[in-house]
Amino acid sequence: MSAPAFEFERVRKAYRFFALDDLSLRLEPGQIMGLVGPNGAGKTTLIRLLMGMVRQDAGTIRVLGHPIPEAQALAKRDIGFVSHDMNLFGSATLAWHMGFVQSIYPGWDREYATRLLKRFYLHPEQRIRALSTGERVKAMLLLVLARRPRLLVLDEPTAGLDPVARHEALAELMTVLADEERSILLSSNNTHDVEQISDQITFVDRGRLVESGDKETFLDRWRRVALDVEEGTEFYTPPGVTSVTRTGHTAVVVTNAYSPELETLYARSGATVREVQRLTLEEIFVATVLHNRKERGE
Amino acid sequence: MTRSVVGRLIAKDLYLYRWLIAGTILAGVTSIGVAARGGASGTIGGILLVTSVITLGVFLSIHALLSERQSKALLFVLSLPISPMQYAVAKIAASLLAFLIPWTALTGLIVGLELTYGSAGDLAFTGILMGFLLANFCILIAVGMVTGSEFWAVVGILVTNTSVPVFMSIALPALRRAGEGQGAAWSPAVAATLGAEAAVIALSLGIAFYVQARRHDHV
Repeated sequence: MSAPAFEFERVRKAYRFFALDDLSLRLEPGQIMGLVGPNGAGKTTLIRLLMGMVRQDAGTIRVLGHPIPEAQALAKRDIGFVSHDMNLFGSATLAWHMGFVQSIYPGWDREYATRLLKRFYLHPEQRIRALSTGERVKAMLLLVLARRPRLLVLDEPTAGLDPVARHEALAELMTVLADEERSILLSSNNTHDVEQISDQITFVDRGRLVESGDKETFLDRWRRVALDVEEGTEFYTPPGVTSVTRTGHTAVVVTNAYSPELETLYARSGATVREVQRLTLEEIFVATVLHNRKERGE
Repeated sequence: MTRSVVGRLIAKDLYLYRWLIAGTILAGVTSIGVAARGGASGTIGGILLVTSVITLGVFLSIHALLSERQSKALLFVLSLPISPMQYAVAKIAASLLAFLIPWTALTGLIVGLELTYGSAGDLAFTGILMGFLLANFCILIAVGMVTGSEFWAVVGILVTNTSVPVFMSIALPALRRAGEGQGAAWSPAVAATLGAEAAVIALSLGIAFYVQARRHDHV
């Protein structure tokens, strides 16, 4: 059996004004994890720990079976990393970068690289400093995808891209997903991107892991339930309700533990279920983070 | 594989700074040509030569050591299959090589001319001066690697650059006089100065590696 793509166990990393605290997280081979969190939540710190660029104060990290940061050089043979705030060498051409990466990674797929050049409409002789933001991101994706790494680590790769460039980048990632042995960690503020390609969702907020699990389960158990209720009557709030908004005879309940029995329970308590809606990942994310902060008294 | 990645990174820096290296050699050779005419041209040529080597050191300390961090290309490099320590080895080796290629070429040319036309005293003088410039560059490498800060790099540049005219106008003539007094170009004072320069070089590079080895966060 293959080792997990990565595994964090009780990891802690503290800075002066921020700490990633007691983080345990695991990604199995072939899975795609969407890492979602507000700005400053700790997504980039988590990724830099995974890449061995910063060292944890406590806890253990293993990537593709290798301890990090000790064996990062071995692990990084099979990791492709693209970050929104990463850059290539401005004075060199894309062709030079392709040659450079090819000289380091024996698994470089020349034909695939040529296909990606056409697909991304990139010109190898162009200098990196002459590329637009979208072209630069596509160039970086090309450099990692043509290596065919076992683990792709993408830190907000579509940040700052126009909708067309974002669509092209995501479409290529979707193609990569056809390989069942390849794992992806995608960090993003854009829940639409994450919802589109991930099968695992992890929410982080203020340095803590808030929730992590299967995307379908996430989407299935969250519902917004609109009820008609008698004004002024006591209102039944079963476990899992994260928020209740009442206006006159109407109550809107958001729950993370939905089941069809919930509607029966409300009917028994005298309320009339008017509408049950699924939540988007963005709505789930916002509800989860706010609920978690409230529970912690923050 | 990682050893070859270190080699690739060194080759990468030499490629990126190839015009700077070539330009320094060209400027240096021209300066030596001017200096060889003697008299006032000798002084001007000498100043131009020292300026060329100092300029190379300044460019390398800012661009090779720091710009990678500021332009975020460091993230790309650190995503390659190397450890941060191997990155430091590659970076320091590449910077040193980029400096040493023109430095060696120019020193070799001067020594060749002195062996043909000059005296043993000139050789000692050249050795001490070029050693001083190399030691200054190693100090800049240490400042860049330890602080990773453009501000401290500029402070380092100011201090080392200020030391050059002081060294040339006070220390070198004194060493030459001492050598003449003892009737030998390679006097104990000259040897001690060369030893001190070697110690500064070793200490600067040692500090750069030591700090890198103890560092936990590399971006």
